[in-house]
Amino acid sequence: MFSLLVLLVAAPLAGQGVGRIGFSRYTLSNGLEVTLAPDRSTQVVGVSVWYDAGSRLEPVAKAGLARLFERLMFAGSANVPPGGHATLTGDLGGRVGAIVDEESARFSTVLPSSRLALGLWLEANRMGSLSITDTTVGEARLELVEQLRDQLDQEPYAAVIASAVASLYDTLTCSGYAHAPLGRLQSITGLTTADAREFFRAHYAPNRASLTVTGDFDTTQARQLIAEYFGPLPRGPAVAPFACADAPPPAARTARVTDRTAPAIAVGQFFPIPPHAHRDTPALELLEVIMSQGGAGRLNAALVREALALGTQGGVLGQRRGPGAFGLFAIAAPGVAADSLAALVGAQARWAAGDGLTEAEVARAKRIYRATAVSGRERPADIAAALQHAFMFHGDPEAVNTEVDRVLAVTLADLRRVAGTWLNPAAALTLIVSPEAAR
Amino acid sequence: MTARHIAATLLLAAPMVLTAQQPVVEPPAAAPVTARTQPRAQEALLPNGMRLILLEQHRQPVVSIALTLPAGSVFDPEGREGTADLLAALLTRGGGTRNAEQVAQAIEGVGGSLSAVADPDQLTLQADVVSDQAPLALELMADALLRPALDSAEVAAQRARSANSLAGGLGSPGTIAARVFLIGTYRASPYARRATPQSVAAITRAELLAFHRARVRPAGAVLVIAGDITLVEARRLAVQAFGGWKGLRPAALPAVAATPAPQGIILVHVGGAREANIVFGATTFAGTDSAYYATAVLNRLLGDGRTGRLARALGGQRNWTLATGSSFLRTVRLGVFQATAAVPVEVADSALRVMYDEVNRLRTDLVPARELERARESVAGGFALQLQTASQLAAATAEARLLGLPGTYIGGYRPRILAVTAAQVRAAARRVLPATGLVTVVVGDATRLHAPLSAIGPVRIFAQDGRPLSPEQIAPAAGALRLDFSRHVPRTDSLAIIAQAQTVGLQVASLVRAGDSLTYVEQTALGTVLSQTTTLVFDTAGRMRRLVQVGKVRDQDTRIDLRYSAGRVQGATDLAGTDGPRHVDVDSPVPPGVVDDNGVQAILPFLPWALNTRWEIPVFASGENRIRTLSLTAADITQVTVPAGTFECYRADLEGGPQRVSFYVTTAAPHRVVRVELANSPIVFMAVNP
Repeated sequence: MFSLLVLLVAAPLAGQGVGRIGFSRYTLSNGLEVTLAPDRSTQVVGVSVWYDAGSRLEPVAKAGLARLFERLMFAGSANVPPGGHATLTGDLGGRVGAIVDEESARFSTVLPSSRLALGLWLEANRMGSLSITDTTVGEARLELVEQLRDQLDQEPYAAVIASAVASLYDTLTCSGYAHAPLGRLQSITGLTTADAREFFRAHYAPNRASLTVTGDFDTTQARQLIAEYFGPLPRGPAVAPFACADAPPPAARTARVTDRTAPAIAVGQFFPIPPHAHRDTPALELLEVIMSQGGAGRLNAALVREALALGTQGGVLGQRRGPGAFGLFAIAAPGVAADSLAALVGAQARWAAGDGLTEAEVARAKRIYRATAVSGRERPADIAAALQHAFMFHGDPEAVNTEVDRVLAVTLADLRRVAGTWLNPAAALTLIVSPEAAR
Repeated sequence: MTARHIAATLLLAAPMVLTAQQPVVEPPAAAPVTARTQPRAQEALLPNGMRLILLEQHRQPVVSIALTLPAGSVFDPEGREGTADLLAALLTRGGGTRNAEQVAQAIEGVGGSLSAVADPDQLTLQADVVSDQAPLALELMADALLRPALDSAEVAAQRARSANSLAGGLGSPGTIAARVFLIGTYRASPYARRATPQSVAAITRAELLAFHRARVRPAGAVLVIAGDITLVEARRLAVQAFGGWKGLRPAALPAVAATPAPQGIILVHVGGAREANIVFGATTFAGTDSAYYATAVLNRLLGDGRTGRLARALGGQRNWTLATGSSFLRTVRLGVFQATAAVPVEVADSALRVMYDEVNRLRTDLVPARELERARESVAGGFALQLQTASQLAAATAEARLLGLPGTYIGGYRPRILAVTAAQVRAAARRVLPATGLVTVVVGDATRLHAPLSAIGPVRIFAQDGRPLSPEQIAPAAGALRLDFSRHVPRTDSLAIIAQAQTVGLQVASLVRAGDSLTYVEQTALGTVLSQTTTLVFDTAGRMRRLVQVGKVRDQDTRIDLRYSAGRVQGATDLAGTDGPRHVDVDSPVPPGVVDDNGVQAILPFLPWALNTRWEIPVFASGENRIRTLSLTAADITQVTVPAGTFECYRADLEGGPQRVSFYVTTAAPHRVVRVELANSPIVFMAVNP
């Protein structure tokens, strides 16, 4: 009896995939989804707001519009001066983060626990009264052009890979994914203040957003503050659901491009895969670990250690609610021709579907996957992101407590089947990148 | 209109006024912060004297293990500074039955991490793993600490890496300033010891083993385990991994007393430096001193990079700073506090005065409430954000324990900081930045800094290697104008003439030997403005024989034809003047060693080059028909990149002529001129041929 009590009080979690994250959830009358996951053992709070406002919602001609808000959301609001969100947070030892990709616009603020009210107040202020003027839009547009220039000048392969992934999608039936979120110089410079106002009105409304609070706070107090700050915000207009066929078309073709910043020839293979919520996703996530994690990762072991490649990378290219993509990428070692490298990369994809993959490798990959998942559930901001992901991609924050177990339950047979189904080089887009000087 | 009516109108108007003004709502205030008691530390003393501290937390299946022991760099043997750092770097490179690669594979294969680091006081090993891998983590840590391979090849490779990276940073003024400051404040204490490339290169494997034997002992070691594990299990694993570790308590660090530093400014001479690096401060107190809290708030108030008082005083309108801040080091026996700034050399003395003034203000005045509140919240909040994971908690707990702080330190930190008063901040400023006893170090060009800094206080000058220098010694040494033409190698150099990133002209110069003469021919073309060919003939001892210059300047023909012989120069010049051509007959006595002013660039390769040397060069200025003395100073050595490549060069400044000119001359023979800059002119000459 006594020993049982001890076990209940301090039960080690060794047998579980990840520790359970407890939470409560409710919806405000204006449509704002709220998830509260207190954890009094930490001394910080995480305030996270995800908007369903990714680049897939912008027309191709306005590519970059969604991304504009990465900067614009810090431009100030009725009660917050320009840049005030970041400086008020920074002055308290806190941190802010913002990411806009195809799926969503994600904003995160971490503060010492005494400042929960400030974190919620700042988010409610910008949701309710973001300062969208010619000046703030102009600054955000300039920043976006800078980012685009930086990518073109300083990030070898990044721009050509983004274009290749976008080219997997049909521009008519799946136009939202058929352009890169960063946009093009022409589309960015054409963005107007009116465009930004309209996008904000349509997508940055409480009914398009999900608020998650994690860390050291009192639930009752948080509910009061949320009601006070977010309750008065009006619901936004209804938005037509995003449409894109679930099954991506196979893409058996080769594209040859140049990249003036590329230090060497490189080869990428891009495989269309199903939406994130698909039953094969856990196996694909494990394949990512098997292919590219650590020195013993397959691409590293087969290509880098054999002096065939200078660097490799592989995995799911951004989680999507619509059809996605899996990529394998290698930079050629001197003397290795593009076509032979392409054949080698394709052979690694086939390897996973054949007899090469062993139980030991699967076990190693699961250990690494689990360690990554566990360390991604320690900080309040990471816990918030995991809950938000579960809600946005699986429709229920509770998925945060089952998602890892689904991956750990994948068998060797599952992996071979999934690799055979989706990582088929015959149905992939092969990208061959040459440094400009080589031409 | 009745009074009532007026009141009603006002009532009606009031809401309109409010909406028109859009009152800005103030951000919500902070909630109170109380001391934490979670996670409560559970402690056990193992039979061998090692202390186990468990911070049990079952939020996630993660365990972080930090093992720290008093084996930091303060225990480095004299002349072998860097031993603790080198040992730390090698501990994870093989241990027990595993070599370096096998250790990496073992930890990577479970998605964990293993690292080791040496601080001034302690050496810390840390492993982070999923909790069911705790036995493996402890096994790897015990192997690393108790049975390190210290493989000879690994030792040699790591020693070379460490020495190289030290050598890489050694010459930078910031590094010199930090190093001289620590020596100046800590003086004879072992905390003053700093690794150098030489001290690291001298460390042998046997010496690493001796350090390991002397310092890596169980008594005094603290093993912190944070996360998903029970005390019973933690204790069982700790005993299994470290139970067999025996040894007496290592020698304690002797008491370190603050010794008063001599008054004045230590000026470290870096010839030609355009920036000055300023550091000043003093030793503080022991690791457990409660003045720590007010000092942490003071540090934020004074030296925060963006909003601190130094940043506001030196930046902003003055816009002097390249960087400024303050920091303080907390050690077991005695810490240091320092304020730093990097500023242009011209304003170094003014900047130092401003910095002293800011410090003085903190010693005399109470900090305004709002500024104090912001600094307190910033320190407390930053601390909270540093404690989010089991790994961060384990590391902070281990460090606190080795500093001698109580178990309540981490939980009580934020309320302690938030309770710091303005009077305590003022007392801390008086204590850690005392009005007398500050050590001030300025690193920069002493020829430009010595006089202005002397107006602030007594200045002692040192060379970068620590040699004391007299003010006379920093003045450039007079160099004898001995031209060694025997070093001559026939060559032709091309310099592109560039203005605002456009190539506007070309200069091609060659020097050939024929019989008993050396002939230098320089052809210069500058768009349509100028084209000229200069021919200079020297005898083999470097004496001038002849100058012929033929050219066109703005469509006017020019010609100079001069003979140097028997102490005279004779001939004629026909130059372009504002009112048309100007003819001058020349016949003047000239001093021995005179050089035609068109020939200065020609003789540069033949000077006896040495840094900080000044040559007085008598020249005949043919255009003005008079003798001048130019001075040429080798002021600096710097890397220069031009189309021809990257070269290490002397920067030689030519002064005394109509315009200051800087020549960049390769330090390696044949001392090529690879870049020429004209003061106050956008024109630059750059070598284009390899």
